[in-house]
Amino acid sequence: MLTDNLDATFILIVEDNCSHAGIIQRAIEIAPEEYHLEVVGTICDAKNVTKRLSPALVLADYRLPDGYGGELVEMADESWPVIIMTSQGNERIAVAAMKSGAEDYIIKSPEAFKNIAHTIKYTLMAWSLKETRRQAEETIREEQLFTHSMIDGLSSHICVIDAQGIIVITNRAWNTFAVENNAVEGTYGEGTDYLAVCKAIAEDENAEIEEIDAGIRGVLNGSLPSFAKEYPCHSSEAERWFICKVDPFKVSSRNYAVILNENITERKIAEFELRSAKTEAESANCAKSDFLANMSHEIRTPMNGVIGMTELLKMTELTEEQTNYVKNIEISGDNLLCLINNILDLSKIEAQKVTIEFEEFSLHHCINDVVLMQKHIIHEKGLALDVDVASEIPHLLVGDQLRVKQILINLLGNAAKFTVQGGITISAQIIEQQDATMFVRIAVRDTGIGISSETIDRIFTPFVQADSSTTRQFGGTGLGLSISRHLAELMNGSISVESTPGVGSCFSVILPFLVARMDLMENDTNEESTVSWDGAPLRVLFVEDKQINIEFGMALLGKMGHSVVSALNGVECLVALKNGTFDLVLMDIQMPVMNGMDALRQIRGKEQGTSLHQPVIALTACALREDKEEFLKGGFDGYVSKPFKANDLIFEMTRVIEYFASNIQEAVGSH
Amino acid sequence: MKCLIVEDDAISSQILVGMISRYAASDVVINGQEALDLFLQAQESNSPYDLILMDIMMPGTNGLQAVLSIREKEAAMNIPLGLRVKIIMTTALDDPRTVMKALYESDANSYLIKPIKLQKLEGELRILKLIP
Repeated sequence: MLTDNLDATFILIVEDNCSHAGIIQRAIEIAPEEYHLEVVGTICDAKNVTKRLSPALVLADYRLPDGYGGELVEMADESWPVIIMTSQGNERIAVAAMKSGAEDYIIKSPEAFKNIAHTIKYTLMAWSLKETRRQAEETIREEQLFTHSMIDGLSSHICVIDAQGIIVITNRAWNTFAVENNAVEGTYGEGTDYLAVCKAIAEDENAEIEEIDAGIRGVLNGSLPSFAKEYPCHSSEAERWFICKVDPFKVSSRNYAVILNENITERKIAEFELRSAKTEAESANCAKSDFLANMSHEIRTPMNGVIGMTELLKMTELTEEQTNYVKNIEISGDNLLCLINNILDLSKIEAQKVTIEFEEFSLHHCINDVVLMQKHIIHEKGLALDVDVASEIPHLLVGDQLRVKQILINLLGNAAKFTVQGGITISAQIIEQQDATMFVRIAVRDTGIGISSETIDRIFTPFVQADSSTTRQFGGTGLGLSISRHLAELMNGSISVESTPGVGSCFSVILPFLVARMDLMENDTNEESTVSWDGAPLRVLFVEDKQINIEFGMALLGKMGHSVVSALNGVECLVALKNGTFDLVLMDIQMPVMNGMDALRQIRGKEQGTSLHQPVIALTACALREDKEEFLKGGFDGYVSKPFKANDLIFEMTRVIEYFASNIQEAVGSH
Repeated sequence: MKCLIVEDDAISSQILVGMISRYAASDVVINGQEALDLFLQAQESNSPYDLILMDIMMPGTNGLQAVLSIREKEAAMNIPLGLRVKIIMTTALDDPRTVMKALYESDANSYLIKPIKLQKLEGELRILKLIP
């Protein structure tokens, strides 16, 4: 009965009635290449066959010698379809068989047998469709299970809400946490209106939840790309912190957001501990620096004794031996003072008591001053000294000249100290300019002992010299470079070193300066001849800290016929005003010690409640770009911006003086 | 030249006396009140001081208050600016800003930061035209 065609559909016929079986076989074998038939007569045989080869379909008589066809339905377990055949009058059985899972039934009759091929074909098709659907459903179920198991496996508390804020999915951790923390039923599970829950808690004056509520809404309505917030959520037993993260996603144009809460208590506690350790360390260091900075007075008093008494001793009659001893005391005293000054400087920097001033200065002069200060030491050692300041560096820059000098004195001092033969080069060049800010590199290169690569990283650390034997050989505190680095950084600059042991070192400081516009002198030389003042000569107080500007200003005002007194800063200005009378003050704004603004405030403060008014004109550097109105509002009577032309100054002076003259006349006239 | 040294630290005053000895005879007091008293006495007996070296930080009446009082008295006595006593503040404070502020508020003529070197002291005296 078996065909050889292995691709054919295997149909198992279980029928003990031979004639029925024969009819069925013939009915099916209309298309023998399509089907491969096997006929057995008992359930037992059927079982044996299916063990060997799974049939595509079983066609079974209901009543069989060793049982009922229903057993074959059970045996198939939905792996293949079973069609039950019953005799006429047994429809009830057929219905029962269908209920138990048979795919179809046939009421035996010649008609039915004739159509059997059609029935089988139809059943196979239906089964195939069903199978496909079942497989698809199985795949979906598996995917869902995978997703759910996955989010259930995560320790973070996760839920997904839809665009309306209704919880669509939660994970196990989410639910467990809610249950463990006695959350009210209906405030966390799937189907909950989560936004409503958040809102209710937020209205309970919980600022964190309010923020989270706003965050979730923001993510849902698209105004926030995502949201994250760390918040405390303490239980009665322990302090806890969580992070809430909200991220949106979209499934076929429907918007969702996944809300994830994670316990970050451990990290938070570590952070707190770190922070408090840091604060403690900082405050301890600050206390130390404060102490030292404040010790300045206590240290200087006995130092004054040592150094002063030495000076007195030098004034007495001394033997040669004694003179030698006194000289050594003096050197030791000076060295100790230098060390103390360094320690105090460093302490002040660390205690943040050092402020950086911005004033116009000449880098050319600044470098020259520093070189001049150390020249004799360098020449005494027989070293060559080269100074190379790029001519492109503008004559006037704005920065803190004192601090720049402090750094350069240190670097040049070091170069001189550690160089035995050869020479020292100090150079300056522009490396970059961004708008009004100019980055200048000042390099001090020597042919000294150099620094080994092992120690080069440490030399900017306080109290560290390249190696301790250096201290014995060359002296020094190891503080200078540390101070220099701090100062450079305070000025938003940096300091670095390149060195080869035995060949030499090169220290570079890169500092940003503002570029002042051309100074008065350079601007105005050819206009001097046209200077003329029509009014009465005035007594003018000229307040300006730059020598070059003072000279020019005094000359210009002198040519106009005024008598001029100069003051170097706000304090000197106030002293001059106290001791003399002036018709007019011309006041620079950026000055050391006391700036023009502060000086003016003092002047106006003293005039309060009196009828006095000292006319004051502000002279301002363009680098500052302050608004003219600001100056006038601040109490200045006039304003001239530098660089100015002589006529600008005359115009403004005339305006201010005439204004006050007419005011006085009015005042006199009204009496 | 007649000099008044106001200094509560004995060693510091000894140093100043020694340093200035070649230019002036000095009186020494240890606080601002005594300085004011001595200043007034000298004025009354018509042998005023040419120079006062005044420490800023002292117990009792401090240097600032003392200078202010002296300047007030001078103004009250109508002593012309040029003839008023030259006052140099001496201080172990080393912040130029603080010292300048003290200088301005008190109306002293100058200041010296400790430790004081003879050279620096002579420099100030020269600027104040007390020595050639």
